[in-house]
Amino acid sequence: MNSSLILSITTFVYGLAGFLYISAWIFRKPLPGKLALWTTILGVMGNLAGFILRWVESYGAGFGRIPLSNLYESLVFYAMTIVVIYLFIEYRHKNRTLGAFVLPMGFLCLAYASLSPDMGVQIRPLMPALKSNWLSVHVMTCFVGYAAFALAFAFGIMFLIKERGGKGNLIHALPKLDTIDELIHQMVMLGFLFLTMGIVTGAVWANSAWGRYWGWDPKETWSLITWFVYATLLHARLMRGWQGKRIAFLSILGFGAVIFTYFGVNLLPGLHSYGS
Amino acid sequence: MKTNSRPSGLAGHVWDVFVSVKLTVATLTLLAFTSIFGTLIPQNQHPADYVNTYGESFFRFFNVFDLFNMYNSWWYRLLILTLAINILTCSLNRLSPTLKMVFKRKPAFKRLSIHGAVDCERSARALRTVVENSLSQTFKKIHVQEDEKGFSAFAEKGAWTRLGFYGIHLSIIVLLFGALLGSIYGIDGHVNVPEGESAGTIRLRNSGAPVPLDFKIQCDAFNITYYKTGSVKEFRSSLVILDKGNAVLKKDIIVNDPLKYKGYTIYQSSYGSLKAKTQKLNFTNRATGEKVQKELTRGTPISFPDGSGELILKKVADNQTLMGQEVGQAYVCEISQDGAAPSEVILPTRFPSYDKMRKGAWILSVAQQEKRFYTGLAVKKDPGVWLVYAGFIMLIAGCFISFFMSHQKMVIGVKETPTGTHVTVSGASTRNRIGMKKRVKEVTAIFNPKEYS
Repeated sequence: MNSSLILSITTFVYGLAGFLYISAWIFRKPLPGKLALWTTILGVMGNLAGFILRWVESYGAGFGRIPLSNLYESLVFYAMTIVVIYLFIEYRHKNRTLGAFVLPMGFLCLAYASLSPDMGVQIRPLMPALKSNWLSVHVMTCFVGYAAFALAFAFGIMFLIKERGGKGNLIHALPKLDTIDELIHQMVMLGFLFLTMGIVTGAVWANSAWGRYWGWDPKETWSLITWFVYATLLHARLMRGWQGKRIAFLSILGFGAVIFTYFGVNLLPGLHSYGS
Repeated sequence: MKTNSRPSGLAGHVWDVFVSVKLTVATLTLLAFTSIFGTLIPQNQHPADYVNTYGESFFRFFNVFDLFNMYNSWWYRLLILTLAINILTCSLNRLSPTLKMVFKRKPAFKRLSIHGAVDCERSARALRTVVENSLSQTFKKIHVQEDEKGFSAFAEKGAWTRLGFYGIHLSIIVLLFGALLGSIYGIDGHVNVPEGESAGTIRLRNSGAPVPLDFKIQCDAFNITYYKTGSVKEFRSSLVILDKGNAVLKKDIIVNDPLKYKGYTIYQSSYGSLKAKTQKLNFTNRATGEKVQKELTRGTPISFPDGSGELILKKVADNQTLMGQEVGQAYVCEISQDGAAPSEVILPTRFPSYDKMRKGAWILSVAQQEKRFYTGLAVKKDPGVWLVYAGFIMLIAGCFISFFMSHQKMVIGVKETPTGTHVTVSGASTRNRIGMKKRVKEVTAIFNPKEYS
């Protein structure tokens, strides 16, 4: 049993959980909902186990290090963060339709990590620039931020569906519009705080490694672009009273910037290209 | 927000522009959008590379807008300056109302934005403790004001969290100021120090101008260690700081662990190997095993140990290909032996027995030489960095306070009516209005006769 096997299995557990959440939403029966929750909890445990096991395996390979240093490892952590934040929201709001939008994202994340053929699954030792205590703080804060933005995106989609959906039973089962609106806002605030911390820890780290806290590297610049987009959203909402549809659209646009910061930048040259 | 900070006349109109959130949204959007270009167009390359990539006319067009160094261009700086003025004006504009709300708190018994009301059978006097108890679940201090018809109670908490706004917004000013300070008074230099030598002058990264230091950096050793997989584990330079000839500080630096001295920070940045000034060649006699070592310089012929021929070093190739294989460094020589036409011989440094295949009387090989490294050090001074860090802390603290804490107020009014009392419950919160609505509903329910009858 190795970590990548556990994580491959977890991928399917998340897929099943997503399927169950969608069934629970469509058939509005309590049983698939309950099953979905327990499947999700099982999935998170598998995800965590895979993460820890990979950490242990790196010691076996002769260089212990936290598994947060390449695309594969970041996707594993990202999926886990998305699902954990979701579980917290389900606990708070007692509405399982949210899971039908979120679990598929956790599934896609892990599926990309586990199934993509050119993914670096082998555990490699850290290159000198990455050997720093800032690595774990920087990556974790960034990905908690990205995860919160992913949820804001999912809720944004949900808002638009509810808003145009009319009076069908499926639409009725979704939370009220102002609840979804508030959820988007909360997730954006959480994401903004953590993105800020991610950028700041990255800057402090860069200064201790290279003597410059900002260098307009494409990843740095794109994280700043993302920060600008969400700052715009927050100002529009808090100062100009934007709500509902417009905020939902902005949360979707913002997530586009997140995705480009995460994946797209690897296509551009720069310091973070080891992320690919 | 209307305040008395607004000047009159034309200045007032300018003020209106800079105090508006529309400007904030416009500036942020423009910054986000324009920043994209600098990530798509590689920055600060050689003009010739741009002409190659984009062609002459696009090169000129991009160049007009400084797109090749756009984050330092006048228009990008203007956008940042606009944002800074916008932030300062807005901060100034809401300074006095915020300070009043935070520091000169007066209980206000007016009904607040979220409200509910209920008729109650009990008397105002009987409700006094119920009101106080319900408020004290959330608030520490409760103010009560009595009048002929009943009383009102007011409570608030977290008024100071309104200062989170200043944490976020002034942090941007503080860190921009720190960055400005660094760009004016900072030094960004580089120096290569060969092992066993010292350097007292660095070169600026932008201009290449030399800057003398009032101390010297000596490199005792530079080492690279590898993982079993072959990838680099560590670059390590053993440095000594010499101040007026005395060794005052000794430290091994690695990437992520620099050395600090007299306001300068010295970082491990690059490395390289020095080419030996002379090359040495081994001649091994195939029959007798006799071994002779000879020095050679490029272009000057040397003779074989027994005088049977001559050899000229034509060049030292950095990465030679032999039979489709890359073999690294190799000496490319020409030998002319008695009676034969000159022929080319390639001697790969890493494979000393390669020349055996030539079947000559003398087997030639490159003598192993001790490689000497130099370490490439970034030497920097940034007097603004502490301001930038202070800005970072303010920014994070400000976001946390503004997003996860709130200023909450509640007012409960009790008025006597012929049948009992009329109770109004109202609340306001800077954040989480849904939570406040819930709380107002809960408190209103306490006074509902159905609840206790």
